[in-house]
Amino acid sequence: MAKIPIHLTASTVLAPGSTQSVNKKALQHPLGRPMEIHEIKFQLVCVDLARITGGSVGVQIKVGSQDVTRGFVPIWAMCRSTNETEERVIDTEAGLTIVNHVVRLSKPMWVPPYAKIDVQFAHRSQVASNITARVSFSGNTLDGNAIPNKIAVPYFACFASKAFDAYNSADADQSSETDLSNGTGKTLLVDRLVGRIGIYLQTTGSNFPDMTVTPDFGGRMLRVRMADSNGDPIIQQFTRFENVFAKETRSWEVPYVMDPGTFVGAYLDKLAPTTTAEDYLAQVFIGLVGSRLVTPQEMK
Amino acid sequence: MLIPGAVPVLLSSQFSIGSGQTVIPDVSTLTAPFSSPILIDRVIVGLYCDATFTNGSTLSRALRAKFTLDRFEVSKDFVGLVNYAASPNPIVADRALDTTQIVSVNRVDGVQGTYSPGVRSQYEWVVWNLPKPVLLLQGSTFKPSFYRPSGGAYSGSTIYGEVTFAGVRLPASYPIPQQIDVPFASSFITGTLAANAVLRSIEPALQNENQNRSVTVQRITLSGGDLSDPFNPTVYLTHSSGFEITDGYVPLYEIVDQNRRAWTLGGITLDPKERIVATVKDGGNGATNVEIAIIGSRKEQI
Repeated sequence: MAKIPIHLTASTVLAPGSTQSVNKKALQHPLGRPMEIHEIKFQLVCVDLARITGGSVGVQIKVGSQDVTRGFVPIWAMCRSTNETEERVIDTEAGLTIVNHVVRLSKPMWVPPYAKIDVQFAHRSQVASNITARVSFSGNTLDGNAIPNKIAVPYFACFASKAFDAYNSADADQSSETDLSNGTGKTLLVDRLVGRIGIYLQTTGSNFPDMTVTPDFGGRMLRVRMADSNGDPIIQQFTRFENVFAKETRSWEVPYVMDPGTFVGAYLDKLAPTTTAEDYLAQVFIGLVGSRLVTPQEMK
Repeated sequence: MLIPGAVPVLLSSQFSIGSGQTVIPDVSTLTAPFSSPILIDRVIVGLYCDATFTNGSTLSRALRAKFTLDRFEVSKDFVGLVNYAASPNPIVADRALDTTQIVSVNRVDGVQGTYSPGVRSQYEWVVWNLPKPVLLLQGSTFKPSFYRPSGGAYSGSTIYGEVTFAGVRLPASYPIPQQIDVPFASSFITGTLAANAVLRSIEPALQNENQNRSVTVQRITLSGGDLSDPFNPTVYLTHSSGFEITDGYVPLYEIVDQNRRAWTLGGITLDPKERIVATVKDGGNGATNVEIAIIGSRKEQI
C-alpha cells in the first residue's frame, strides 16, 4: 500500500493551573494501522487579547511506553521559528488570541498499530482565563507489514527560568541538572537548542504588550553561559542571548550526540539597565530538541 | 554535520567602536581553549547603538571587518561587514540594500527600547555561515578586527558589538588533517561615485593573491544604494583570463538576488593570481558607494 497522509487531532480546555489529557482515542489510527509522524502541531486559543504565548502552556507527550517530553515542556521551546524574520508568535482574530507552533521532526517517528499517544497539557497560570489547547499529529499511514528495526523517537526537554524583573535590577538564574538532561536512557541525537524569551507587563496584570523578544532584553541585557555535565564549557563566556539563539530562528542548530544521563547546564546573567524602567517580567526558555533510537518492542 | 563525540561550543568577545576607530576585540576569549580542536561553522556579530534611527542607515553597514586565522590572512583588507553574509531574509520587506537589507530586521521600537528611557536603541545581527568550517587547534585564534570609517551612519554614537563563533568541540581522538579550510574574503569598493562615473577594480581587489592555493568562491555579495533603483550603478564582471562573467553592464539587482544580496556560485575556483574584474558604472544618480565582495575558502597546510 502506498503511503497515505493522515492527520489526527485532539483538544482540551484548560483552566488556569490545571492539567488535562486530550482524548487518546482521537490520536489513535482509526484503522489500527502503523503511521509515521512528521509533524506535531499545536494551537492555543484564549479570549484574553494578546495575553498568551507558546510559553503559556506546557505539554507532556508519551507514545506507547516512550516519553517524548521530559515532563511538561512549554510548546514554543520544542520548535524553532519557521519564519525567517521577526516571528509572529500570536495572532488576534475575532476577539481571540491564537498561538500556533509546528514541531517538524528531524526524523519521522514510526508509531505501531493501535499504539496510544498520550498528550497532557498544563496551563502555566500566566493568564487567568481558560486556554483551549489543540494538538495534531500529521504524517503518513503505512503498510502494516513494514516494521522498522529501529524507531527514532523525538525528545524534548526545557529549562524555564524564573520570571526576571526585566528592566530593573540585575539578576541571575541557572538550570538544574534535570532540566536539559538526556533522561531517555539512550544515546540522544541532539538537533538543536531553542531559545525564547517571553515578556509581559506586570503593572497591568498578565497583559503581554508584545510577544516578540525585546531587543534590549535579549540583545543586550540577558547573557547566557552553558556547560556540559562534566563542567566543560559549551559557551565559555557569558554571551548575549540573541547571539546564541539566532533571532530569525530562535535556535542554535548544533547536531551532536548526548550520552544517557548527561545534561546541559545553562546559566543566565541579567544585567541591570542604566536607569530603571517599566515593570516588565521576562521568562527565558531554553529547549533541548533531539531524538533517540528504540526498538519496536520498546515502543509498546 | 553530526560528528560523533563532538560537543557544541561557542566563543565570544565584546567590543565597542567609535567613528574613525579600528578595534580588535579581546581575543583571549576567542582563542581555542581546549586540548581537542574546535570546528567553527558560524560567525555572528551582534551590534547595538543608542541613537535615533536614520532611514537608510544601518549599524552593520557602518562597520568593516577583517579576519585572520593565526598566520593566514582571511580577508585581504577590511570588507564591509554585511558583505560576509548573505541575507537570510527572503521577504519583501527586506528590500535588498534598502533600509532593512541587513540580516535581521532593524528593530526600532520605542516601547521595547526601554533600556534607557527616551532613547531608541537599535539592534542588528550579521550571521556569516562560513563556506567551510574552520578548524581551530588549541591556542589557535580566528581573530576579527573592525574598522568604522569616519562620518558614516550614527557617527556621533558608539556602536557596541559582540562577535561570536559557534561550532563544536571535537573529540580528542579526532584525526587532525594535514590541511585546513581557511575562509577567503576580498572586496572592491568604489568610493563615492560621481554621476555617470565608471570605475574598474584593480589588483589586488577580488583577486586570489595566494601563491600556490586555489580559492573556491562560494558567493559574490554586493552592497550599495537601493538595488531596485534603475538609476543606480550597473556592473560589468569579467574574469582576469578575459572571459566575460556578465554580458556587458547589468543592473546590480540582476547580479545578486535582491532579497539575499548574494549570488551563490556553487564553487567556482580562482587559481593563484586570478581575479574577478568589476567595472562599475554609475547610472546617473551619483553619490553611491558600491562594494562588491567575493567570499570563499582555500586549503592551507597546518
